[in-house]
Amino acid sequence: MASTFKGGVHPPENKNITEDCEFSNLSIPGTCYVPLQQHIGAPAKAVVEEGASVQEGQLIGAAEGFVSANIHAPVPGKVVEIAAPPSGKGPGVIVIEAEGAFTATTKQNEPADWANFSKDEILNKIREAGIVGLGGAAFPTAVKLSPPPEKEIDTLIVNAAECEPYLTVDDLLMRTFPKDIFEGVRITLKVLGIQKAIVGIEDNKGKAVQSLQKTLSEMNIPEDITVVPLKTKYPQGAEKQLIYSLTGREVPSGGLPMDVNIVVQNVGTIFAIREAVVFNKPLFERYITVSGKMINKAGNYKVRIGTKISDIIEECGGLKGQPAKIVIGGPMCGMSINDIETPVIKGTSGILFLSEDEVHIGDYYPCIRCGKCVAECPVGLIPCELGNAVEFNRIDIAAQYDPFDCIMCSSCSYGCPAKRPLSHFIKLAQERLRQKNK
Amino acid sequence: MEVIFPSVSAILSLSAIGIIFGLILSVAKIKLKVEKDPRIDIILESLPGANCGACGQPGCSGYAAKIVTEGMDITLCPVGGSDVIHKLAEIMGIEAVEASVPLKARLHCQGGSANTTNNFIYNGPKDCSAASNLMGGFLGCSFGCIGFGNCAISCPFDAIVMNSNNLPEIDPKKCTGCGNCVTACPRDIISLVPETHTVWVNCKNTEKTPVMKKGCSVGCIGCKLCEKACKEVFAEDPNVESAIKVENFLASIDHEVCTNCHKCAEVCPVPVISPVHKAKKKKPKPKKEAAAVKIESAKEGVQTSTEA
Repeated sequence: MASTFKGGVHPPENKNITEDCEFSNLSIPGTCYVPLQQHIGAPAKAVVEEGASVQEGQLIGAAEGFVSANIHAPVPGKVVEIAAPPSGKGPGVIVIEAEGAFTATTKQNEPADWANFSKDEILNKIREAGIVGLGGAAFPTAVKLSPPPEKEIDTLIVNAAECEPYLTVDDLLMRTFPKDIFEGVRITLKVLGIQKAIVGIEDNKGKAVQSLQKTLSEMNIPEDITVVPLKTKYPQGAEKQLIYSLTGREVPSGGLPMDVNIVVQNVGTIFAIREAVVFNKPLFERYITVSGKMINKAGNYKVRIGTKISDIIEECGGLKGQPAKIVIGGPMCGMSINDIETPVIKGTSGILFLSEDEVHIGDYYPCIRCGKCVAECPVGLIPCELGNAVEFNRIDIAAQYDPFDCIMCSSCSYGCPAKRPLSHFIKLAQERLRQKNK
Repeated sequence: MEVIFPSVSAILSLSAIGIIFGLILSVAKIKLKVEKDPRIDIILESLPGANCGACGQPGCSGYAAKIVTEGMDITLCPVGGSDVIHKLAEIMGIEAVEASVPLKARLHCQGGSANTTNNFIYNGPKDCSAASNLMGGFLGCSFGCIGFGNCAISCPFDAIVMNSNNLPEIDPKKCTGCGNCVTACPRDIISLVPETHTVWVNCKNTEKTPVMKKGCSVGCIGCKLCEKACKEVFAEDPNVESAIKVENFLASIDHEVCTNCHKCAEVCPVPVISPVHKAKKKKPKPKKEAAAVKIESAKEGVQTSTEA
């Protein structure tokens, strides 16, 4: 019996669409739109001016403050403009027109021997490279890897669960570059100054588990790294649920993984850490899954940050028809967008073009009090009561049901037979309470 | 006897406990008495009792207590108006201040579902702030009324009703100016204006006109005709240039200066300045009729010429 947590749902996986598609490179876009805010925290500050020419991988946005991340030019070329964002609010977008030579990719750097680097040197390289959590939340990795001294970390958990339907990019990453991933794990362990790492993978990715376990036995690694298959269930890859499944430790309400002496990193982030430390390569490209029934050539691709979704559609053979929804990220936690001019950013793990039979479009109905959401909630909340309280404007009641413990996994909304947007209700409750407590 | 004895002892001990606690409570009532100003209750009776929160206090009782204990301003209740101010002044023994002009809530949008386009289909909670936070709202206009009626729900006086065009209709007779709708609206399109100000702009969109036109057909186009008309009104006044100004493609009225002459509303081509002048709307029709008459007369002319 594979380890797991309480609650959760089993949405159709749909991973077979792109499971066997090898990584291929999408061609470099003519114009890149690089937003200055791609991460949680303070937006980066533009350090190039309009008209300046930039090299591939050159720093164009410098981190402002501790929780922030550097942003690098994805293509060599000219900064055409630093435009205001489409919504009119927040930090701007750096527009780069590609021209000139691709120095970073054409000149293969000699791999550096990271064993000679000190802990701070490695951490500095990670910070300079602008690496953020690539699972989707985009939290600056360097911040996560430098926990306050009073928190003693004893285990690194590598999140390779990839519980979101459709997405296969982490799966393929583990099958294609198992050695690189273990090297990345060892680098991360060195930064944290610990010896123990657990890689958690859902058991629907049998090939990835096999490939990692085989490589692990061949590599003869001095650190204590184990690969653990997990039960296939959404949201197995949610930080707190993953920690519980693998170690049995429960992150306290309002707490962080470091409160139970654990640091969690996504497997994609681990891969990016290795590239940054060994090849000095900043994070200006990433692997994504392009999937869904409405795209002609679904697959796993390597794209530059700042590539517009309209360019990706063109590269992937166009659309089969009008998609009902275009979702950035996974279908459960992702954001649906209404503008295909949106660029790919660091946190984009996939782009899904969903047809009408893959999504629900329509009204919602009153709660029938079946309690399905209560059984499915991995945190043990009562989403139906929260939803009802918010719907009838009783924020005082909603506050009693701990809306801030919600991890926004949308399991409740997925399972609800009345099609109630429960996670949206809970988000609304959080917003209202924040406003009230101001 | 043996059977009755336990129950007798129970009755005796319980009544003894009751008497002891009763004595403690009665002593405590005298010793620990909290002095409460009797005026608080009298004031509470004379307040409207709507508990709307317009005074900034948690309900009428909170306001009554604050007036007595902290000497809070007695003019803060917009619902009661001057009647309540006079009563409160009498109770508190201070001089009554004349009530300021009552405020009325006013909507600054005339889009609604009929005049605006939708960017995408929205399935989420039927709540304005939830919809507004999702990618700037599903409406083509990111400034306009979303139409789920957060304002109507928040109104404690039932003064706001959502009409068939998904726009709130504010009944000025019922509106007390408590401002609950102003805080409930995520788009900031309801404002409190003194009721003497009879002219206002029905739009909040500051986008360039072509961008705005994509989302809404009845927004302010920033043509500056109103500003021109207003400048003519104030031509002889050296201190004032104009009471209505167009900034960021949106007209805004300075109510300190405005004389409520309604010249701006008369010239507005959209029309987006309230009160909407019906005469203005009818104007284009006679023109068309006139043109049609001309064509007919021309035809007649042709006919007559052929006949000749």
